[in-house]
Amino acid sequence: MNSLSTSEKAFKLLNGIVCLYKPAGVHLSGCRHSLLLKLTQELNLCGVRPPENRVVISGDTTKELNVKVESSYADNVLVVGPRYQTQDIKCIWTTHLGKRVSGVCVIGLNKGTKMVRNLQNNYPLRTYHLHGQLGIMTKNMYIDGQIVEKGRFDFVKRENVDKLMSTIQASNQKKMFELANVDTQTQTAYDLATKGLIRPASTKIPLIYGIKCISLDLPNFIIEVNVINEYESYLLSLVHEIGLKLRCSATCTAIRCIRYSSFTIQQALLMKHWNLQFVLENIRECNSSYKKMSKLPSFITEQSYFESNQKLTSVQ
Amino acid sequence: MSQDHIELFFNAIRARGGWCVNTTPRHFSAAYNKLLMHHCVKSSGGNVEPLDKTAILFTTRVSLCKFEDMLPNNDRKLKKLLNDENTDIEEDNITCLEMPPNYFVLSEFSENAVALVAAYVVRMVSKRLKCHECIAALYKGNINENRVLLIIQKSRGGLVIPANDVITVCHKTELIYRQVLNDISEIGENDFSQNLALSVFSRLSHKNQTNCALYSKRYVGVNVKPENVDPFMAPYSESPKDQQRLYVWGMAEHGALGDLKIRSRERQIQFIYRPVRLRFSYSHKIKDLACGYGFTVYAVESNQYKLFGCGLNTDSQIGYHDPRKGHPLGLILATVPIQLPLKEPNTKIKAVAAGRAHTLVLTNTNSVYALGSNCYGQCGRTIIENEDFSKLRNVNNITLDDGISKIICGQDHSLFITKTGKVYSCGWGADGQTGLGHYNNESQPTIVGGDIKGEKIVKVVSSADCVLALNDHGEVFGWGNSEYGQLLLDSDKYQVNIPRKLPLSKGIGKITDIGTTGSACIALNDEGVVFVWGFGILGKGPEMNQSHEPTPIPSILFGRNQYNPETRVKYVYSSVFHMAAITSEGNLYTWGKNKWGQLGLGHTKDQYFPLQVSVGAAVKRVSCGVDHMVALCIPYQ
Repeated sequence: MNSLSTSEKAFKLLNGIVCLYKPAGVHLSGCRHSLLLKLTQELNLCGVRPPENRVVISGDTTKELNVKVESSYADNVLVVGPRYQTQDIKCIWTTHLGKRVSGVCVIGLNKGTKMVRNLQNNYPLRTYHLHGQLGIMTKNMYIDGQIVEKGRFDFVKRENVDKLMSTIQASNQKKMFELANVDTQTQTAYDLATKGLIRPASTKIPLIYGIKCISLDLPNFIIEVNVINEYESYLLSLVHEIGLKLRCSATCTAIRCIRYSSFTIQQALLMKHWNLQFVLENIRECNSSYKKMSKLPSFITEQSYFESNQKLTSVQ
Repeated sequence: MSQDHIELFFNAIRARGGWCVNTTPRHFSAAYNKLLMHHCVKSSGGNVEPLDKTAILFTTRVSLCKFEDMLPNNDRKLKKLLNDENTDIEEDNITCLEMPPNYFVLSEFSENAVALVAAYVVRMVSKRLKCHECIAALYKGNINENRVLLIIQKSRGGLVIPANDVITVCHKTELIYRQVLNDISEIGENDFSQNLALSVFSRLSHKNQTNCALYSKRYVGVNVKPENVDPFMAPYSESPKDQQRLYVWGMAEHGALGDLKIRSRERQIQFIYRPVRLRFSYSHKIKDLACGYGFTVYAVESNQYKLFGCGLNTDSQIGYHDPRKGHPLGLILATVPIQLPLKEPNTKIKAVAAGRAHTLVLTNTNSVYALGSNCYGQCGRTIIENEDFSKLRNVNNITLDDGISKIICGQDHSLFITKTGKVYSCGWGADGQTGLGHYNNESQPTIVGGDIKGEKIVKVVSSADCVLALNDHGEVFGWGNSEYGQLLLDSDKYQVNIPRKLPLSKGIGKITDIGTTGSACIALNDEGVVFVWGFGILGKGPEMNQSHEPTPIPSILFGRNQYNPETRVKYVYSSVFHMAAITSEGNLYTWGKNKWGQLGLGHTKDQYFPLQVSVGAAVKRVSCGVDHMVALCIPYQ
C-alpha cells in the first residue's frame, strides 16, 4: 500500500503546532473554521483516493454466483460529501484570544493537540503590545465604543508614564511571590527563582512580569507587557487604568500579541498564507522549536505535571 | 589788579568754609585747602557774584574752559540736553540760564573722583556676584587713562580699575544725583533711589553710550505663548528623550536623598524604600555621583557651581555652610553647591568619591581636592591632634607626578590610580587597607607595592576595610581585612597589609568588574557571570551565607531566560551591606541587608537573592551608600 495519494501524504504531515497571525475583529472559532476549511479544500483538490468499490454477489445461491464489482454510492463524494471535512482534523488552540486581539495564535493540529496541552501546562509567558490613545474614554474601553469623556492629555510626560509602569511592575513582583505562596525570605523562594520565572499557582489571576512604555507619541502610546493568565477584558481595563493613573483617560486602540512562549510574530502565518503549503512548512518549523523547548530542564512534561498535581492534591 | 579779586577770594572761602571772620593763618590755610579740594560748581552762599574767570576759585581750569566753551555755543545744545530731562526741572533751569548749575559736565577732578567711586562700586558688587562672567565684565574693557588718574595716583596696590562702562554709569548717576538734589522735595523719599536708577538707565539706554547688557532673570524652557492661544490650553514643557534622570532611595532622615518634597520633612519620613525621582538632574547635567556614609555628592557640568552635596556634614565633608555665621550646619537636607578653591574658573570636575566622612574630587587638571575628616590622614595632609573638622573651611589639594585618573574612597582611607596604572593610598591602616606594608595611619599619598608593582591597575574598589584591585588582564589583587575569607588566604591570617594576587581558578575567566562589601566580594567575568565569595548575604539564598571560594550566581536570577537569552550583567556595585548589578538592558538588581530600604524593593526586609528594582528608566550607573542608593538613568529608548 505505498500508492498513497498526495492528499493522504499531506494529511499525515498535518501533525503538530501551527503558529498563526490572528487578525483583529475575527473570533478565534471563526479563524479555526476558515483555516480548516481552507486546508480541507486544498486536500480535496490535490487528488483524493477514488471511491471504494463494492462487491456485489448476486444470483441464485444454488447455482454459481454472480460476483461483480460495482461502484459504491456509500463512498461516493457526491453522496457522502468531500473526502476531507473540517471535523476530520483535530484542532485546539492554546490561549483564547478575544475578538479584538490580533497577533500570535498557537494552534495544535491532530497529534499536535497534545503538544499544545503540554505548552499550556508550562504557564507560557505572553507578550502583548497594547496601543492606546490618551484623552478619550469610551464605554467599552475600546476605540470603537461610545465616547463618554474627552479631556486634556498634553501634561503627560515620559517620566510619568515610566513611573507608573515601574509601580505596576513592582506591585506585580510582590504579587508574584504571594500567588506562588512563598515568602521571599526563604530558601524555597530562591529555589523557585533559580528555576525560572515564578509562576502563579492558579490559572485564573493575571500576573504582569514586565511592563514598559515603548513609545509615547501623544496622544498615542504603546505599552509592552509580559503577562500570564490574561484575558481580553483584563488588557482593556489595564489600558483604561493606566489612563486614570496618569490623571486623564485612555482608550485601547489595538491589542497585539507579539509572542507566545517562544513563538514570535515573525513565525506567524498571515491569513492570506493559511494554505496547505505554508501551514505544512510552519508546522515543521514550530515542531522543531517545540522540541528544543521540551528538552529544557524547566519544561514540565505531561507526566511531571500530573505528578505535581497529585502532590498538590495530596497536600490539600 | 582790582581789589575785587581779593573780595572774590574771600567770598569763595566763605562759601566753602562757612566762616571767615578773623581767621587765623591756620584757619585760612585749612579753608584754602578745602577750597582747592572741593572746588565747587555752584557758588551760591557767598554774597558776591563772580566777575571774571579766576579759575582756581571755583573749578579747575579744564572744566571751566569746557563750561565756557559750551555757553557761547548758543543755548541750543544746552536746551537739547535739557529737553531730555523732566519738564519741571527744565523750566526752572532755563530761567536761570545765565548762570545755570553745571549739570552736564563734571570737572576733571570730579571725573576722577567718580572713577574712584566706581572702583569702590566694582569691589562691593563683585563681592556679591557669583557669576564669573559678570565679575569679569566689571573689570575688562579699554581704560581711559584720563579718567582713572586719581586711582592710579592713590593706589598702593589695593585699588581696582573699573571698566569704562561702570565709570560711565557712575558718571551719569553723579550728574543726575546732583540734579535731583535740587528737586529733592519733588521726589518722594521712598522711591528716590529707584527713580535715580531708572533715570540713569533710561539715559544710558537712550543715548546708547554703553554696551552694558541689562540682565534679567532668565527663564529657561518657558515658551512665550502666542496671543490667540486659549490660556487654559497653554502648552506644557517637553521632556527630551536623552534627559538624565536621577532616582534616589534609602535612609532619608539625614538628608542624603536631597530635596524631597517639603512635606516629607513635616511628615518626618525616615526612609524611602522605592526609587523616587529627583528634579535636580533636570537643571544640572550630572557627570559623576558618589554616596558616602549618609551623604551624597554630585559632580555637575557647569560654569558656575561644579559640585553639589547633601546629607550629613559633621566633618565638613560637603563643605562649610553656615547660614548663621560661625555655626556651620551638620546636616544639610537640600542639595547645595560646594565651594572649591579652583585655580581656574573653567576647571571641570571629572569624578567624585565619598568615604565615611571625607570626599575626594578629581578635576580635569589632574589635581584632587579632599574635603572632610582627616583624622586618619585620609585627606592626604598631616594629621592634627583633636582637629575640629566641623568648622573646617580649607580644602586639601593633592597632586601626583603621574597624574591621577581615578579616585576611590574606602571607609577611612583614600586610594588614587594614576594614569600609568599605579596605586597610591593614604589614610587608616589598622587592617592594612592602605596596602603599604604596615598597620599605621598614612597621611601622605604613598605608592602601593606588593604584587601590583608593575601591573597596570584599571580599577580599585573598597567600601569598608577590604580592598580589591583589577588589572588590565582581568586579574584580581587584594589587601586589607580578610576576616571572612574575602582575600582567599589559605592560612588563618585575617589581615594583609601588602597587595596579594587572589588565587582565582582558571575557570572563572577574565574579570571585568569587581566590588567588595564589608564581609564579601563580588566579581563579574567577561561572559556576564557574577561570582561571590565571603560571608553574609551573598545572593545565593538564605542558607548559603558563607563561601570560601568564588561561586556563581545563576544568570537566571538576573533575568536571563529563554525569552531574553542575550541578557547579561554589565556592571556590579557593592556597599557595606548590599550589592547591586546592572544588566545590558539597564535593569537594576539588588540584594543584601535592607534595614533602611536601601535596596529599593518596596520593603525593609533583607533580600537573599538578586531582585529587580523597579526604576522607571534604563539605569546607567548607580552609587551605593551605606544606607542609601542613587541611580543615574536615561529614559527607555
